[in-house]
Amino acid sequence: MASSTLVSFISENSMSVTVQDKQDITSPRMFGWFLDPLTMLLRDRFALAGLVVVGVFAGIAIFAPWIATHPPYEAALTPEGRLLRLQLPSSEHYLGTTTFGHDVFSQFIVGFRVAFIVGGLGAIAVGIISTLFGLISGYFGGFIDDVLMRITDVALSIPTLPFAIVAVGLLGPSLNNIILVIALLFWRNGARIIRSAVLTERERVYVKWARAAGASHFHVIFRHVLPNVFRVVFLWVTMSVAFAILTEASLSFIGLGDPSVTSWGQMLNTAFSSGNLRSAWWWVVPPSIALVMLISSLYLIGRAFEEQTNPRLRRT
Amino acid sequence: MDEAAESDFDRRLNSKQPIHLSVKELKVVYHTNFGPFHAVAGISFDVRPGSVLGLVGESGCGKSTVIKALLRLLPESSRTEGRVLLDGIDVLGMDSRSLRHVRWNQIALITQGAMNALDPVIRVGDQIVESIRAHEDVDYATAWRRSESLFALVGLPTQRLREFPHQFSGGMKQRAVIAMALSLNAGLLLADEPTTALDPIMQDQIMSRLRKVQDLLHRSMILVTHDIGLVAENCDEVAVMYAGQIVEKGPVVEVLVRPRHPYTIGLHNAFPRMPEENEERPPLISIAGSLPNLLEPFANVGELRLFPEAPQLAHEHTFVAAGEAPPVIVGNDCLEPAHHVDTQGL
Amino acid sequence: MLVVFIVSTIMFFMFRIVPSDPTVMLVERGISEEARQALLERWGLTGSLWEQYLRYMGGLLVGDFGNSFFYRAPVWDVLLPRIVNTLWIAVPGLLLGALIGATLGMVVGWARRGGAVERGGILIATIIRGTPSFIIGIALLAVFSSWLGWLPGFGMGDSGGATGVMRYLNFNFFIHLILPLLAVIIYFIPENLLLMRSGVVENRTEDYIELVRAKGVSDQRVAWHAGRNSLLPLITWLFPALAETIAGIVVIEIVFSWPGIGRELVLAVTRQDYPVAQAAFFLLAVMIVLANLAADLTYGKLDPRVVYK
Repeated sequence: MASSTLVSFISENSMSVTVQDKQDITSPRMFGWFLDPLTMLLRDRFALAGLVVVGVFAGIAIFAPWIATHPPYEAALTPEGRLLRLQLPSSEHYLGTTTFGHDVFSQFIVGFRVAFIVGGLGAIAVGIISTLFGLISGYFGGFIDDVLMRITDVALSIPTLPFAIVAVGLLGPSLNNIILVIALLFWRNGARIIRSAVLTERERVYVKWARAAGASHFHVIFRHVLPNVFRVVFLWVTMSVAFAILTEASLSFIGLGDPSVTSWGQMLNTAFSSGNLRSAWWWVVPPSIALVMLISSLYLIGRAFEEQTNPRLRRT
Repeated sequence: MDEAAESDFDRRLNSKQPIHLSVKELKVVYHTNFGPFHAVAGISFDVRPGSVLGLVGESGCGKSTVIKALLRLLPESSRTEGRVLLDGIDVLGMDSRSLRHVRWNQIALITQGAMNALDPVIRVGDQIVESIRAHEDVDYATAWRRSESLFALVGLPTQRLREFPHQFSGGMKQRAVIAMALSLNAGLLLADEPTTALDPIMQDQIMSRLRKVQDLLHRSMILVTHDIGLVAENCDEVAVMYAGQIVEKGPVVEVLVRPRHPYTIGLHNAFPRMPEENEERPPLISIAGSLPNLLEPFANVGELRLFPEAPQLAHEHTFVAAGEAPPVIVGNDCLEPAHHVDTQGL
Repeated sequence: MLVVFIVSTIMFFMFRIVPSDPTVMLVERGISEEARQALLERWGLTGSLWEQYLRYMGGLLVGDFGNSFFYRAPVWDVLLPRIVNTLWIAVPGLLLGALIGATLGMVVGWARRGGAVERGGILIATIIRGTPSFIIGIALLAVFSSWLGWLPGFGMGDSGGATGVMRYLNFNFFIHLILPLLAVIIYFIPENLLLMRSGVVENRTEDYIELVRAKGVSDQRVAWHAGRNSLLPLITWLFPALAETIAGIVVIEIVFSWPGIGRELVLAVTRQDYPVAQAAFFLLAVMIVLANLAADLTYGKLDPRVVYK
């Protein structure tokens, strides 16, 4: 009896508040959590440009095997059987060849696919871990929150790339290990950001109301809290794609990339370590520009999100 | 403070004459995502040298926008039309150089100091010095000594000039803001809700300090407030603003004792009043409805809002008779074209 | 301090969990079993995991990182000059980058909203921010070293037999320093610029800015007020950015073959020289902790509201 009285008291109390604050009583509409951020992005011209670049790159990544003209590691030979090394771009090799006679264009095209695999898988892993961390920490609070945030603090003082270097060096340079390291590294900031978003959301009247009406924690989290922090999660996942691609490129450039995969960082590493960085521009420029374009585009999308979600940055 | 400095200070305080401010057909339009927002819809008023004009109205009626428009502090996304004449010189048409000269030299602003009107990371004294040295070619020490006399004038211990705003209480910050406004003895003071965020006792202290300063210096002043009591105590004339227009203006006694416009009546009744002896406590009546949508330009102030209590009030005061369209803007010296008032509601 | 302890513990176990014996590569060179045991003992690799751990942590407390497998010398002797080399590019790089970035950020933040300066500034800064540090390095190398031939882009230059402080105080060293330092500066500018810009944009609508404008001071002076206040959040936000910056320096050292601690870390990992790798990583983590401490202290200096008891 006592508990039901309490419930009715709380709900009555909240009702009186909700009358004044109509926007607060209902959770946003069905697909709003997905459509609102999207329409927001389409209004920002930089973000739009970023979306176009990412879209085109994704298209190339999907159709990479059909676009590439040669197998990436096939050595091109002259009719006499000699290696075609460091050829200038031609109609046979659109972007010339490497010092090992490999077709640069094909390696470059395959690189799109690698970038999206690393970025996509890495960001999904980061997104899941940081969302879980942030949700649990922010929603339940108290002791759980304390423990999880201590862990985050420690994780935050680990230098990113040095950790990645050591971990990949120890575990062995494979794409899976690189993605694992990325997930281990980038959940931490995301967990913090999502946690604070959850904290604000938890205090909203409709969340309290839903709890008072007898909804389970599970229901409240997934039906009410998560859709409303989705914007923040989306922002962090977008940034994570960029971080993942950047980390993979850096590791590959250092020479700790997956040797069986032709990523852009790997191409630059080969050019660098074979001493052709300064002369073979056709080998160096395409992967560099592609990396810059892709990462910048992702940052532009993320920036538009930040600008829109922070009311103090909005234009008056 | 030595005597020479003091006399210099006195001389300076008396060297400037109060300003005659004349505002003509002032219009402010904000450009928003939803279209133009008519914050101030063509208002005119005068502040005679040495007099105090009270600008009253509820939040969002445009009174702060008027103040900002006078100093041209409005954001770039707004458009200001009309004329703001300081002793006959138009502020709105000035180039930025002359504008800088007008600011603080001729028009000084007293904002709500209790919040964050002062830069939080700079010593209060340095902020006053900054305003002095922006306009007068004096060295730091002289400017600092002047700041000390100003602090003394508003009743603050001079050693607190060395402190930061966060070390001040709300009332002290407000005094510091007033001291800063007096630093160049501008001919016109704009006090934008100077006591709103303070508790009643502090409000009273600040206002009596402001009155003393006014008695001493005879500045022209606009006092923006939503507190009719303050207007009654401090002002010579009053202008009542509603939805970007001045609906009634005139001498304080005239307007407050015998309000004519239904909105002024509403405002009057919404303010608590001490009952006279043997009198029943007068009811506190809130103004019904909400502000009109200023995104639409409008013509008829009276149509904007219903006053459910008004019929009976109107009869009590017998100034607005049912069926008779009252003049919207009434003053002792100016009668402007009457607007239509929806008498159904009255 | 606790953080440093936990990081080094994690580090230790990370290296031990991976089952690889550093002596294997030596065994292949035909080293005898006794000699191998002796080596293991000297490197602190005998005994149970816990004994090794305690010995390792005890060593850390007195600043002893053990001996390098590769150099056959104490790790500390190997790393100390490397640290100094890194600081040569990191400290001026971070400071200049922060200074230039913050200044530009103030300009962009104070520019008209939606105008060419603001939009252009944001776009360029975001693109540079999206440029991996090694590509900045490659671009600098290509332009100044290969194409124009003005500056060397490899190593630190010949010491000419100079030792000690004189090693760094000569012309040859300085011309070698320019490109890697420039890379660090460019790498660090956009982050600062964007942070400063949002700080200024947030501050310019504050009440106190309005009052400063009303005082009739010059526009630059008003912008200065906004900038001064934006420095505070800039310093707190710099914290997470710092870890990324040090990461960026590692790659820049590789591009310019700058013998710093980051490059040594990569070399040690590829050589499986664990004591060196472990110590280098540990020192980088300490650098981050110290940088945070410095940020806290600077914040206290800049914000009068913070009082240390």
